[in-house]
Amino acid sequence: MGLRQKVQRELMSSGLPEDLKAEFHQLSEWAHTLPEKFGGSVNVRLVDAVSIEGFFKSLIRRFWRYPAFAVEGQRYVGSDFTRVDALISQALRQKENESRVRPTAPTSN
Amino acid sequence: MNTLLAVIIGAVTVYLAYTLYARRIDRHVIQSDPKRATPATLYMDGVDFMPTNRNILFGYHFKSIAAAGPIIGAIVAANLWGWLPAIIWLILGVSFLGWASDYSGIVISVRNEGNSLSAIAHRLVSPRSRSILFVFIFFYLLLVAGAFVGIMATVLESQPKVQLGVIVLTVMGLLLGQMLYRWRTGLVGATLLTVGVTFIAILGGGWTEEIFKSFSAGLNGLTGGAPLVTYFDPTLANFQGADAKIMPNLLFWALAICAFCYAGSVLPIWRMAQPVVYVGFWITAVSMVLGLLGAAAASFMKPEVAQFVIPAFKGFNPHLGPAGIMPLWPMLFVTIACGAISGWHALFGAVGTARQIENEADMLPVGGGSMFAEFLLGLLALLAVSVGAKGAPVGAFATGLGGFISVWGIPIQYATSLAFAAFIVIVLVVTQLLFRVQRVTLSEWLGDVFPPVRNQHLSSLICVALAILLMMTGTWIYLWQLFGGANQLMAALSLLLVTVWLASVGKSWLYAGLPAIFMYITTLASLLVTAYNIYSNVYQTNLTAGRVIPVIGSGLMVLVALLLVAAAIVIGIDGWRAFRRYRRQPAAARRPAAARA
Repeated sequence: MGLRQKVQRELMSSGLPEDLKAEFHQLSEWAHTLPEKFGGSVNVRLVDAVSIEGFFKSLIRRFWRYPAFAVEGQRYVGSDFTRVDALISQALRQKENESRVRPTAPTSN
Repeated sequence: MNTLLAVIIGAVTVYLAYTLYARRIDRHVIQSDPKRATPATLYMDGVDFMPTNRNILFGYHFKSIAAAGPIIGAIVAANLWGWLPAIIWLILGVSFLGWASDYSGIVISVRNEGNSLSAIAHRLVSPRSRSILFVFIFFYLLLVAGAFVGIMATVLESQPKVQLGVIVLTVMGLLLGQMLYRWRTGLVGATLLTVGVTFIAILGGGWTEEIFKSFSAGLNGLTGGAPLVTYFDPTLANFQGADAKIMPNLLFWALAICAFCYAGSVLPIWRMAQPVVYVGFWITAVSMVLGLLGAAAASFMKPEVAQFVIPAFKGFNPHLGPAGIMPLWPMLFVTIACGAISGWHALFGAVGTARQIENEADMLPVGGGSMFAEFLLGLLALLAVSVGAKGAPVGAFATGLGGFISVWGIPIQYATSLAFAAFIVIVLVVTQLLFRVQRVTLSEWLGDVFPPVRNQHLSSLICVALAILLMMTGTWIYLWQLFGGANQLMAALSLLLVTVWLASVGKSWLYAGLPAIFMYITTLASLLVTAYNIYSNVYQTNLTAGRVIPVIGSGLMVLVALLLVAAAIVIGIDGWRAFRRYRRQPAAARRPAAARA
């Protein structure tokens, strides 16, 4: 292992307390299951809460606890990932309905 | 000259150099291809290799390269040679060398499966170049640490108004870590509390000024007013040179900074380093944004703080100490490092940013764009020191930046306190991370030969002790230039490596090769000049006076300078041979081992 990897691994290993590290690991595993569940129609964007971007996102979306999820404007705060799956399914269904309802070309009688 | 004109010149420089030169090289020489897979997408592992959005990566790369370099370099250069040579080098440097170095550091890694510069040097140049680069990096980090600790201790010793802010920053950083990671408090509330209290402490530093003055007097009283170390400083008495003294309170602040860095180096990141950096970022960002906008608006809103007051040009070879020399070439080109060109950027770009590039079209905006942003930071520092010429270099910078901030209606004494604090915060947060990297480097380098250095506490203490020793020589301008020489030499070596690689794949190498030649010759010359200055101005004078610590410290600095020169010559010879080899027969390059292997 090179110097850079050593530094990187050390930063990773001491980046979070043990309980949060375990939580982050669960989150990561859940994120890896998304393509299997929803195909390529879901894009995940991870934002580090302790960052300037994290601050403004928290402020705008009124997140006071973490992990926090925003799915097409719907919010969920907590670690029950089945709730997030439900939000994603709901958002996908809604999109599908919208695309069915929307006419593809003007019609005339 | 006024600040508005300088800001316009800076903006035009960025626009022209980026659109007319950098983009052309990216399209026609490198031929970046958005459809080509990058190492981040090929080897994604969530740790090293991670495709990242270009805007986020830009912020991450810029945060990692922007430290004290662009600020201090511009201040020292403006004081030595005047603002005109400094601004010319900033403009020419970033336009023709700086962006090329940063961008190419990323390109060469992306096109070589995410390998680091040392791994690529091992394959393209010679096996020994990798080991030499390793030693080079340790001494480079040592020089940065010595220079930064010395500068911060001097500012804290002489500015009792700033001390409260720095102490509160540390306490608030620790509190933020506890709130976020242990108590699970929301970020917004925790930020408002910790950043708010830190701002109040910085602006209200005057409240505790008398207390800290009494504290300093008490510390100095421990030795009955006698100095701990007396050394010859060639920068005193209007650069005629004079004896200077390290008093107990200076050593106290140096040790306090080292204790802070030691804690940052051995405590978990979440406990101290990360939250302190987060709080510090707000202080710095607010100061810099208010300062840069204030510099542009000052010509209309407060013209008295917009006029340059230091001479445009002070001469080609300002007299520095009784026996020292300070020729504009090569010394200007290492004194101003990061705002014009910097080896650290290429080093970091190759091992960090390159492994997160999602798309080849992002290489220029992230690598080149960050360098242009840092040029603007260097320009801001130059403007600040050019309009606020009172006091020592950092004091002049704070006075100037405080003047720009005061354009927005903030009373000047508060604005200056904020500028001083911003400077300390920028340097402090980088130094604590630097000690962590240096500790790991030491343990990797000597761990097999001397196993005790694998202990994080021992290796941290060794790094801290060496930095203090360098600081105790007192000759921080030379130390700064030695660091600048090492940093710029790193840039020259990375450009040399890029040149060899371009030749190996049959591409035009001139855009990297010509800057490599210029920087290589310039930095070798500068290291020799610095070694001579330290030997003749500091080592000899202190040896004659029988001063042990300054003699050991300055002797170490001479040794490091010569070691860097020797290392660079070896790599240069190997690089030249490799270049000629590939020029004769460009390699349908062997595929390198994957970076993860």
